[in-house]
Amino acid sequence: MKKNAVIVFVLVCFAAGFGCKDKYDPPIITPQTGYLVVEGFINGNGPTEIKLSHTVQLEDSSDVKIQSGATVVVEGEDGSNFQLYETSSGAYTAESLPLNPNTAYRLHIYSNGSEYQSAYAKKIATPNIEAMPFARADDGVHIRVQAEDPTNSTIYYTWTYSETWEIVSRYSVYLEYTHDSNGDISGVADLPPGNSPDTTESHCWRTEFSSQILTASNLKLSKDRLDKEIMYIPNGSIKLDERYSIKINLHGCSAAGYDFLQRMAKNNEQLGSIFDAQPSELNGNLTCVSNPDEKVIGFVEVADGQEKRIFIRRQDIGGWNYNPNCEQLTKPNNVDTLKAWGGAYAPLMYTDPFKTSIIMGNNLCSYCTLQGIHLRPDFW
Amino acid sequence: MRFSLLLIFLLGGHYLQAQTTDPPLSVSFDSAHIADFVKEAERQTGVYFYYDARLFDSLRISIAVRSEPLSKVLTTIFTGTDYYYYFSDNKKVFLTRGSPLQAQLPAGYFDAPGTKPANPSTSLPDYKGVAVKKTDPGLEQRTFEIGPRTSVISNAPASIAGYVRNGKTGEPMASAYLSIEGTNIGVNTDQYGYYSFTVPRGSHVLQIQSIGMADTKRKIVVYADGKFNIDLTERVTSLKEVIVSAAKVANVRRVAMGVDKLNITTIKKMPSAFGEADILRAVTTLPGVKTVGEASTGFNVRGGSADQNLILFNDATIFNPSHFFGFFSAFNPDVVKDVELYKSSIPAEYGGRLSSVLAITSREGNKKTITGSAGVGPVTARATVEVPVIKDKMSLIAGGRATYANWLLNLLPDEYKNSKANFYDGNLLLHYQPNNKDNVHITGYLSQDKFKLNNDTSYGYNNRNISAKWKHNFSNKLIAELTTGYDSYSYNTASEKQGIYDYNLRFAIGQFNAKTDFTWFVHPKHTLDMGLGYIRYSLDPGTYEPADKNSLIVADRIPTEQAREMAAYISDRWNISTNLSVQAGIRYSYYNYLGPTSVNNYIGGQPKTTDSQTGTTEFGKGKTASTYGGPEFRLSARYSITGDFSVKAGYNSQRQYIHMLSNTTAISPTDIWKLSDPNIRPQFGQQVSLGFYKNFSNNSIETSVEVYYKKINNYLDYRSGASLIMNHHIETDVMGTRGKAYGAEFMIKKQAGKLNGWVSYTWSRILLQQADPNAGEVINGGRFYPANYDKPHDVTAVGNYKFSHRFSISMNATYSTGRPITLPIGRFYYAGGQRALFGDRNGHRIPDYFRMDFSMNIDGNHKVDQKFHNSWTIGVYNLTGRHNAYSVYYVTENGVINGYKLAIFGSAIPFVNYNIRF
Repeated sequence: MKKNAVIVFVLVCFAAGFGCKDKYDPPIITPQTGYLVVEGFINGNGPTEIKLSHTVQLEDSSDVKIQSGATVVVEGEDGSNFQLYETSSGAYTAESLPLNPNTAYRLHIYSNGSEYQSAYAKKIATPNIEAMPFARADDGVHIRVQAEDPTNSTIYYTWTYSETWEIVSRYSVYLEYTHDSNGDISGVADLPPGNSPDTTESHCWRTEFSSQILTASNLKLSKDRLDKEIMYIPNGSIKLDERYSIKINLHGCSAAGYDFLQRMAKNNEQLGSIFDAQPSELNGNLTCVSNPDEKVIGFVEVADGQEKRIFIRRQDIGGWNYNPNCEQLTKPNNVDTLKAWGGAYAPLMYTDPFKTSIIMGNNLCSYCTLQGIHLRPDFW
Repeated sequence: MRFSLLLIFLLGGHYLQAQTTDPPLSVSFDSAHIADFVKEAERQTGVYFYYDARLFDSLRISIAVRSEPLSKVLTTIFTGTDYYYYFSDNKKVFLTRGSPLQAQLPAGYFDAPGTKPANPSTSLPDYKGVAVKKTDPGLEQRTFEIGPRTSVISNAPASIAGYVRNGKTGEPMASAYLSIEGTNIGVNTDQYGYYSFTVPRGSHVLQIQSIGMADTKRKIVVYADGKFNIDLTERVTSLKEVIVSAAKVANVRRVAMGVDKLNITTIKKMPSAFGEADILRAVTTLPGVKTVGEASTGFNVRGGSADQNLILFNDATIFNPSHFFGFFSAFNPDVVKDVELYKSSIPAEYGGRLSSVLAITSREGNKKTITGSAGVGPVTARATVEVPVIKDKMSLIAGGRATYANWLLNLLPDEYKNSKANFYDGNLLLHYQPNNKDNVHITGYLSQDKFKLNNDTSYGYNNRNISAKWKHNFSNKLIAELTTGYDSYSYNTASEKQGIYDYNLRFAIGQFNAKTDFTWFVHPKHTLDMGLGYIRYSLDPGTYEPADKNSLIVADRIPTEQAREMAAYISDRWNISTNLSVQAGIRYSYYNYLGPTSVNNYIGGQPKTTDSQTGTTEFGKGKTASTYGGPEFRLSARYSITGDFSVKAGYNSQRQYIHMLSNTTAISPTDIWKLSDPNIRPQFGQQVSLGFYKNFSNNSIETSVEVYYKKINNYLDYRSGASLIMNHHIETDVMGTRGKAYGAEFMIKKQAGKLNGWVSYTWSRILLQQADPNAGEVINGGRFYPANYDKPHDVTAVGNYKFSHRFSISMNATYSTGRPITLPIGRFYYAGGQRALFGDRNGHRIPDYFRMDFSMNIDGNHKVDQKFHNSWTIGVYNLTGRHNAYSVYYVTENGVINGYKLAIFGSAIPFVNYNIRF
């Protein structure tokens, strides 16, 4: 619906002349808020991680205001409790918690002199991820996730993913520029011993995380079968140039939790069509015990987490043409030439033993560090 | 012997008071016609008489004299009448009626050639008035007798009734205003051109005015109750100033307030997007009517929501009056005659919606010859044909409109190349008038929209309506109407190519309705309107099915809903005195929500949620699950302070049993309708209003000020995150709110002259409140918050200037406060991206709206005998190219929140429209 409305709008815009969508900064100063934001779930099948942060003004330049130094405890209705520890700034974790499926649990947070609680909830079972099939199509590669709950009880799902791909430089770099005291290029030299091309600039990895709220509901299906596309890699993407991996972290959620995520997603990702819906208030399952009027953002579920990782090699899909537009030049080995070309080109090797000329390659095809980091992930 | 007053001057009559020749005469007549008398007098005296026989046809001469001077005989005959005689020299006698003949030109007549006499009131008859009249002067001069002639005319009043029609096409002239010169008696014709009113017996001059027609008058002598039909001729647009007579006071004298009428001529002259004459857009230029923006033909009247307007096309209820996601209204301008909007005094015959009644009336068709029209614009083409099936008795109009907007879609980038958009509407209108007492109207209406844009979902929606109306005049004093019809609306959406998720969703609503209305002219001071109405609703709230065999979608169907609404009303138009009139009506409506149904029960005093649901109660077929009802009052009064200045006041209450559920601001194709049931109460609204009406410059300028205050109960708003589609317990997602609306509307209107149009300013507010925690959630801490169509300031100017009768230009300008929206007041990081934290609901506003449009209307020649008449409309919509914000929104893009302003029209849009008529 919304998508269509947007297209109609685009259509009319097109017919009427472009420029219908303008950047808009409202002439208002937004108030200080600083409400606590709680993200994460109590995991019955793996480590639990709860992230705490704060809401900020719209104009605030920081990405995220982390809440450090809080006390975070998982409490069971049966009196059990498990402390979470801040393993990195704002992230409070615990290894596998021995949760009793018949007991309801909640999160209890003490932070900045205020006390917060989530509602008690029993663990939601999540079926194992059966498969993550991928398929080559005309427009690229589509990856799906498949799971099925034979008890038909999970119904709602949410997930995050992380993708990692390996970047291999087209050219091997055997030389490096030398610089004078002003930082200008003064010449070239062989790479120091031990820095062979294989270990420096030719193999890199890049990891990206999902940044959208991803959910699925099987409420209207005859069986609780999840079969959703989770990733589409368009033709020509660098991601499948060598080897690609995607890991999904999936867990079931309650109807109310699903609704909360849907509202947050609608508020952020689906607004602004012709039939714009009202942004809705984000009331999760957390309350501030010490000040009931204070908003708390978040919905803490108790659920079994499931994860699965797959790898796809270029040869698995066939006919993948990533074209980085590589370019090699041969230039005389003198300082002026190196200064002129050195900014955009890497020195690959000498053409001859007399080092009269240098073969140069454009940076993108020579230094993989421009697109990733030179650190092999431990799962690779 | 036809006689023109102007001729006198050409003949060069001298100013001679003395009768140089006054021959004696001996005659004896009893009730003789003037012709007999003149014949005898000419024979005996040799004097030659000049007179207009038609002026004298009601004069009866009874006299017996012997050798009396002619002047004395004439004086005897004419004493006590309004006839005069004048002797010129050379044996000529001029007989006149109304005023004595002045043979002398006023002083200064020749001093300033080309200018009007300095003082035209020097007892000269109004020659100008005669000279510019384009109607048949014969009809105007002749005296018509109504009722069998009696020698003695009693003082008792008599009723006259009849039809006012277009003399050329036979079409009825609705809202023509008839008045008796020199009195306050006046009446408007109804939509069939029928009028009926009571006048004192005796001689009168009846003035008839109707927009687009030449003003005319009829001399009548009323002896008893009788019929009197009037044919009008179309006004041939004159370069000269049109003389506005003192009777154009309908706005001042009418008892009802808050009534606005637009005829199709005005609408067609107004510039509109893509040059499509748009009926609903024209309505939104009226004071007190707002719209949320261009992509919506939904409109808000005096703080009412879009579903609180009853939109009637010849008595058929139109549920979705728009095409193409709301860019165009679904009415073909070629079959529409006029549009009337009731926003305050809603007549008691209408009910079922809180805010307004928009009555769209079609034309009746030419009963004399086959005619037709066709037009092309950038997006649609339309054609209409009118056929006199039985000459003078039955006419048929068939009209259709279709789009070829696909060329627009073809302009789009390749990724949309499989898109298709398609809409059409059709009208079939039959009018049969077998005799003067009966009128039968049959209306068929269909509108259909289909979209298949290049993604997975396709849409379709349609309106289908049929209505039949039979009007019968039992007598001059009693008229009955019987109306019945079936109205339906449905939409479906379908998703394809998503494998196991493919679905097909359908929604439908239908209503059968029947009503009967009587108008009884009881007494000169009392007119009673009364009637009964019945509506049977059946609603299919949703059917959700797998689209193909691979789909895992489980078929789901929300059980159908049915209900009946009944109403009885009576209303009296009471003319207490010439200055004070009252219209008082009561309507009692009664509503049953009927089985078979299964009603969800909830714990009392708690928010209705799936958790507080305690079970269901089953009701069998035809069993009543819940009943609502109550009286609705419709009161208005008018007090005339002077002939062109009046004060009116009114009180109105309304009940609405059907709700449109939408969590969007505009009417969208996937909005659903919901009947009131045990868990959703009907809406109730009350309005008080006060208005002042004053006309200036011979009533050519109308001014008015109206203020109102309105309260709305049980207006449905949505809980956060409401899901409205395929919801088996919709009551858990909505909540009743209270609303209050108030405002003032100012209007100056010029109806006549080369320059006509109006300027209106509206100040208004609509505020809602949801403070009861048991009803669901409290919004904005229980404070009043503006509804999303609350636009306090609104200025609109609509103007047309006629350069000649073939060329005119039109200009619209409108300014309004930006509508409220909910803006983010902060942000936070969640699930890998920045998210917006929203503030109070509707706590901020989008930028103000301003738009100017311009168009030129060029008509081909006006030769009456020409077979084809063509016209062009050329114009520019959004002349200033302003990017008016339709909405402001925030999206997370690459993890960052960006604010955008969306404008529907990002530049000035030129358009050309070509029309032809035969």
